[in-house]
Amino acid sequence: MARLPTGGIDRRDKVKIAVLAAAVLAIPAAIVLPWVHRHLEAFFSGARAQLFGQVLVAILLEAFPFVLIGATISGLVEVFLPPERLARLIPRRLPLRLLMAAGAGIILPVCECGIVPVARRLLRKGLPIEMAVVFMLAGPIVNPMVVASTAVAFVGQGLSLPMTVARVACGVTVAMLVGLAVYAWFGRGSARDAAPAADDAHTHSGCAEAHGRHGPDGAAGSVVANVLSHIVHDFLLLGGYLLLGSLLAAGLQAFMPRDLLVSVGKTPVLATAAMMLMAFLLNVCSEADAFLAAAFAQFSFAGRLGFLVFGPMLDVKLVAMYLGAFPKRMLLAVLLLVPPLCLTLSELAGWVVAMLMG
Amino acid sequence: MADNHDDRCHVPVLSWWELWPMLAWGAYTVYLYATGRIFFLLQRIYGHIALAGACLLLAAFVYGWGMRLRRLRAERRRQAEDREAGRLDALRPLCICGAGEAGWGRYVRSLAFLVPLVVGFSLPARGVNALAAVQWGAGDVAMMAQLAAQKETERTEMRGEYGWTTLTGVAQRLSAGRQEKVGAMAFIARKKGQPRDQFYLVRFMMNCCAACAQPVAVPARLDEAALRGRGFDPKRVLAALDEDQWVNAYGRLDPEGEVLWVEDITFLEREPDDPYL
Repeated sequence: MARLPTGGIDRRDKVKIAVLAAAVLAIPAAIVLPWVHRHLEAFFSGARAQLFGQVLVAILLEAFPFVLIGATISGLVEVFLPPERLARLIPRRLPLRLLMAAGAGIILPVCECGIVPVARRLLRKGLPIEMAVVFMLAGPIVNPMVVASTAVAFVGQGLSLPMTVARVACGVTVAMLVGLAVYAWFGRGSARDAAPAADDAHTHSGCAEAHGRHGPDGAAGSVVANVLSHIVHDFLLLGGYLLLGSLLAAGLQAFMPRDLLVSVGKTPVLATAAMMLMAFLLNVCSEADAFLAAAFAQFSFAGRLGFLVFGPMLDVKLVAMYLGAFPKRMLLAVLLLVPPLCLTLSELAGWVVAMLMG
Repeated sequence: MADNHDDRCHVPVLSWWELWPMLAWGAYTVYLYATGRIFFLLQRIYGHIALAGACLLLAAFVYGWGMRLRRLRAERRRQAEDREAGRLDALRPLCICGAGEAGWGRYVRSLAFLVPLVVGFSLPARGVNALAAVQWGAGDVAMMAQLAAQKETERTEMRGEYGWTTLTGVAQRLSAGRQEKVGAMAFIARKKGQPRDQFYLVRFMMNCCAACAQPVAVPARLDEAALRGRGFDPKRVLAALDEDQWVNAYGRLDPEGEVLWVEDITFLEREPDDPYL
């Protein structure tokens, strides 16, 4: 008996249509793509465009693995750390909370790109906002890798110990002061309600993660799937902002000469401000920035310390990432307080070290 | 938003929009690593870390895609059963195909990943250029000496009358006030408005990536008499000394003038495989 037509398209027809569509599209693509590629190659053979492209791709290539590490930790936190357990871990007294947050960077050693997804996730889980700020600002400085690289970079100049101690001390102090200010501004409690819109829109194909339904439900596959979905989401969300920041940073690197900043190297306070501005523009990873700072020999101890403390807290790409991850008031507090505090404490530390070392 | 949807959907399924940037960036990084081009942009250790990151991205893509296919198959089966039974759950297709997700932001973000990929594929396979050397502080002697001090460069071999060393070695000797005959490999850079016969021999030192590479630059000039004595036409040499041209330059250090007088020169057809110090 003949089958009646159902009006649907069966699998074989779908394959035929797909092959036909691919063949039809392949012809213009074969003409257009090489043409576009040729013109783009010609454009990027120009010195400035080439520099822009190299800096853009280099920053992204360097930062993505660390964002991915941060996103993985963030995914694990989301799935395996329920808000109640996190709440039990948080001390009641404010000084203890701030100290705990500052020290958390030693246990979760991620650099400044990787720490953003982790801090964002902990904030969503109910971590008090002042702790999130302190963790985010101090974490990349107290990271053991960063401490070690700072110590190694300044060995040749005999500044290994003072620079390392001053960096950690200034970094933790700035972070805790900003944390205190944020606490005073936001009051008690977490900033879950104040989280940016992007957080609330975080869904996976219609499944809202914020509903707390993604806890481990016994099936290993679903746990892995949950962790993975959070990794992918964080990677995409913060990767998008990282991309924006990298575009800006690459533009600044390709079009703005550093001569002006370097020329103020011998003016005391101005030199520290210039080095901080340099850190903001260069977007150097906190694990390697000490080697760069060591090379700026014409700058004072305070100037180089300012570079090392400010860079992991604020740079072009980080500001873009903070925009996507944190409440705007928190970002505003960080933007307003970190620069003057870094400047003041770096100068103070420079003065103390000069006194001690004669 | 999705509280009321089917319980079967509580393990999230990643959409194609979420998955493709992971595939694209993973594959692109592996391509850069396999062709060695990644080391024009990243310091070695960071290149290896980037490869590890790329492998993670690709693994995440494969797992996510497999999960998606499994869920799609299961959903098709269920829909077929529902059709047979004469019921159709209107919400279920939404949680599979990704419709109903919040806003256009994710699509824009997903597509934005194309930008650096297109830029990356259009870049030539080479290190940071002469423009960067000028923009990023070539010519600052104090910085140059400090940079040079970060590298061990006391591995000198003789080539004719010249001690062959790296450019950091040249910079160290110059800043130490040594009057020696040395040779090194570098490329040419000039500041804006600098006369053609005055130039810098430059190589970059890479700390982490191209964005923070630091130029080690030695001011140089042509010693026309010495060049003539060796059979060179100084005018032709000068005409060939374009920015970004790689050379093996041999000459004598003049610490008082803080300059290397070039007495002999070889032009290289292409830059070395590892252009960084």
